[in-house]
Amino acid sequence: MAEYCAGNERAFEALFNRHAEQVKRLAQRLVLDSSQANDVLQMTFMSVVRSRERYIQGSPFRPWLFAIAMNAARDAWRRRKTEAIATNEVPEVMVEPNASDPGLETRVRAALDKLPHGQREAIVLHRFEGLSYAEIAEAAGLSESAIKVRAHRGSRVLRELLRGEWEE
Amino acid sequence: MMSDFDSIRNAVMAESIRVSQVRPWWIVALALAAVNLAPAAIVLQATAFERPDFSDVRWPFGFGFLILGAVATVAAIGPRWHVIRLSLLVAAAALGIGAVATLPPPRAAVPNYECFLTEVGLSLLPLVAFVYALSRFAPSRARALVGGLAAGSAGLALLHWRCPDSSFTHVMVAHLTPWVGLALLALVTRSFVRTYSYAP
Repeated sequence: MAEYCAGNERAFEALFNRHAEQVKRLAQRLVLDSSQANDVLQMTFMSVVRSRERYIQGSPFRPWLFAIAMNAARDAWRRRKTEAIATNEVPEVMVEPNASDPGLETRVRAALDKLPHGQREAIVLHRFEGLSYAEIAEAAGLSESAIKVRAHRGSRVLRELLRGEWEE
Repeated sequence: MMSDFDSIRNAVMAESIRVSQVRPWWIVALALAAVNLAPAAIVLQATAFERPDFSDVRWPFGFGFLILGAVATVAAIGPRWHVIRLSLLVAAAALGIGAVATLPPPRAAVPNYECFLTEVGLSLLPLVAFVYALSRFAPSRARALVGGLAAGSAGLALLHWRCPDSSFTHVMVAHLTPWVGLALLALVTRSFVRTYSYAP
């Protein structure tokens, strides 16, 4: 990122190639819609380009990138809900089947869909993307304890929803 | 056939070439401060024939609103400082309560709509500028509220200095209500404006 901020365009391409898959996966887990996940991916990297002066030199890039992706996903989610209310439709959860257990993937996504966005973010970033609570807190602009509370509450609800399939 | 991934890569690479330079946030903050102060400064200049009464307890509160506006401008546009933004909302409430709690006896009666419209008129251009600037940031209620308070601060300070009607009802209805209303208007307007960048 430092190289890109210094004007090296190729460094940005390398950043895209290195992180795009992960951002796409994160977006899919947060917005639960394949085409919206693509929009989130595009807006995330567009935002990196447009706001690169806000990146703090020397700080880890991934939490900053994920913070942008989370913001974009939150906005996409909000728009999707608003549109669903306006059209009186239940938003469809797009699921790509998992080869090993197609049913489980569907049930996990459906359960995630029922969580408030903040709790879903905390769980997806911590459990699925492997970020530490401190990294999530930095990305979300919240305290570490607030993230832990969200993750804990979300896990409790998920455990209820996925009774018998949830493993600590 | 080009995959979704390739087309996204092409789009962001094209954007990277298009946006070759980015303005630092503090330049935007300075521009906003200028837009915020200009209308109030013009009106202040135009009414400078009225001798200011520095013994009036409202003077320091007027400066308080101006300083709050300046800090709020930086906090609304600055890349971090979430805690400062929340503290500013508390500070604004405290300053507003302090201002109405220390009002001197009124010198004259002024129709409420005059001050109300003056403040809204002075703050509209800054408000539009703030909402535009805030669309360069990820949607944030605290940012929008603080930005709205900043946009209305110069007009409020001017009214607090110049308005001869210091009755509680007038100040509440015609000075502070539009200030809070502008902050809420910024919040609502921002939610309808398309976000240009989701960076914090």
